[in-house]
Amino acid sequence: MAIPYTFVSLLDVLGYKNKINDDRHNGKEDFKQKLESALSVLNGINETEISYQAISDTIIVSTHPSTPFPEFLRTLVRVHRSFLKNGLFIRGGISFAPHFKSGSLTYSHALPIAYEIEQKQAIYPRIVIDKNIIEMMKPGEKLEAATIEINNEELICKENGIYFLNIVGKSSAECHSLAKSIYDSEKSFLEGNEHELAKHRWLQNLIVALSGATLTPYMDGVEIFYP
Amino acid sequence: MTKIVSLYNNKGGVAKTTTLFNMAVYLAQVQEKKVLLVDCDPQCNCTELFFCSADNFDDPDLPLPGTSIYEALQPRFDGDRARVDVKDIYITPSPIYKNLSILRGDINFSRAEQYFSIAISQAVTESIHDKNTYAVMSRMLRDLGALHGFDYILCDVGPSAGSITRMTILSCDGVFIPTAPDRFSYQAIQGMGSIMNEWLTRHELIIATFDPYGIKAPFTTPKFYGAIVNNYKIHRAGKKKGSYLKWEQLIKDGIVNLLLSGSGKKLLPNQQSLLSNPFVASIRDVGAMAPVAQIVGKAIFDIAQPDTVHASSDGDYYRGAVWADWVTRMDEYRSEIGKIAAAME
Repeated sequence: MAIPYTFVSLLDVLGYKNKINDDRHNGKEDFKQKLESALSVLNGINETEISYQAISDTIIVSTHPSTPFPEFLRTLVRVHRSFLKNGLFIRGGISFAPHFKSGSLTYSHALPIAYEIEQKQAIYPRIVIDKNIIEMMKPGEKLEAATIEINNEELICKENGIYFLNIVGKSSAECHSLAKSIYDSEKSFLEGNEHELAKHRWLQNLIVALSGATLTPYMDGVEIFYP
Repeated sequence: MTKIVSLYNNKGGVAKTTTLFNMAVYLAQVQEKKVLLVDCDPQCNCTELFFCSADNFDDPDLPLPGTSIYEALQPRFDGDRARVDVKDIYITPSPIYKNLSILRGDINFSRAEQYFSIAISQAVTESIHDKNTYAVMSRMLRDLGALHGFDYILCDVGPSAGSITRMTILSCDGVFIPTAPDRFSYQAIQGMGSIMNEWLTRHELIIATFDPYGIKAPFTTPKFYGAIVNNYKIHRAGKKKGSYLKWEQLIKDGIVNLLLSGSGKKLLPNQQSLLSNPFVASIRDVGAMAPVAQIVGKAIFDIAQPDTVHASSDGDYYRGAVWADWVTRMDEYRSEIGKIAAAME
């Protein structure tokens, strides 16, 4: 039997190793509780349409071949926001290719593509959509009909040739508050850590930009140094 | 329904372009079919032959009319469009033959080698861009056929196993194999079986991936329409010279055994009789008729008596027995081209 082609997203919880180490050194399970709480958003999903697996710092979300693509994007928006609510950043990739899961066996062409997108393109806390899926939205292509919902709900953003999920939508104030809260809680860890700080700055800029400049940056800016 | 046909041999000098042009004129003039020539060879010999009958052809300041094949396909190569809109393609009618048009060649079309090469390599993956590039030639030809109501589209390809030729042949409904009765043609036939098998095997693999992405594969599987033996010479008694017959037999055996027969062979004959005799036409060396036809831009069987002024050394055209011999040779040639046309039905 031919392997079905489905939309698959591979999501990675950022800072996983550090958060596990924090729990180990503090004798707590805070991170575990946050993960459970974040993933609880998927508890009520219709598993005949969308299924998921969470292994370590990786979450795989996949669709049934008949699941509408906009529905998949909406689910991923809810997942991303749920992680933000629990103080966690995720990033990932979305691909469309053969994907098979039966019991504990997963055989997938889609996963390595989504993984590569997550590793090479996502960089920041965002879920990047494979350009081939964007091609499928062109006139006459498979996803042409889905573009009506995608456009109406403004589900996809574009920057520098990268297409990614719009997690802000009409909830810019809520996202602003959540992102600020994460930044404030990690501020001391971020000092001198430009690599991690860039992720916060990118998310801040996204939220401010999509709010139509009604919201202001919450991160410290550049200042003159007076010794 | 348009029939898309090409003549293919990765060996050069087997009269691919000449035979194709003459087939086009025969179908358009004798059978009154609507025919489009498509020059898929960046050498543009077919385009040269098509336009050289025009009065102003030698004026270097005048660009050739109509859209070139590279200009037609460029929106896809650039990724601007999933498919080419054939309403944007201006094909050019023949200066002298009714029912015959051309999508002209372009020296820049050689750049398409890399686009098609990448598509052949990547179209089997999830890359929609490469699937669309892989399909673009076939889609364009079929869309042109439907838009203009062509009965036949005849594609001229270069003597190579490169990706332009490959995509053109895979876009066809049928392919003829022109050969010459010599060692080099036999050598080419020996290699052609594995080339065609490799092309068709990967082709099946690639187009099987189109449906899940909602892409309609615009292909039929090309069939073998027959082989053509060209350029043989005869004894004064009218029989083929023995040396030619020996090579012809070896080539015939090669086509049957290496190209068409055996397990796993992908190129199927259009008719079962081709398995016992693959030759559908046998064209004698046309001597001085070919260069004259090239000067006046006509089919070889359509050379007029005044045109022979280009063959004579005294500035006068051929008359009497010399012209009568030309008429006989032209009739023979037309008859063989007619056999090729019949093999497409």
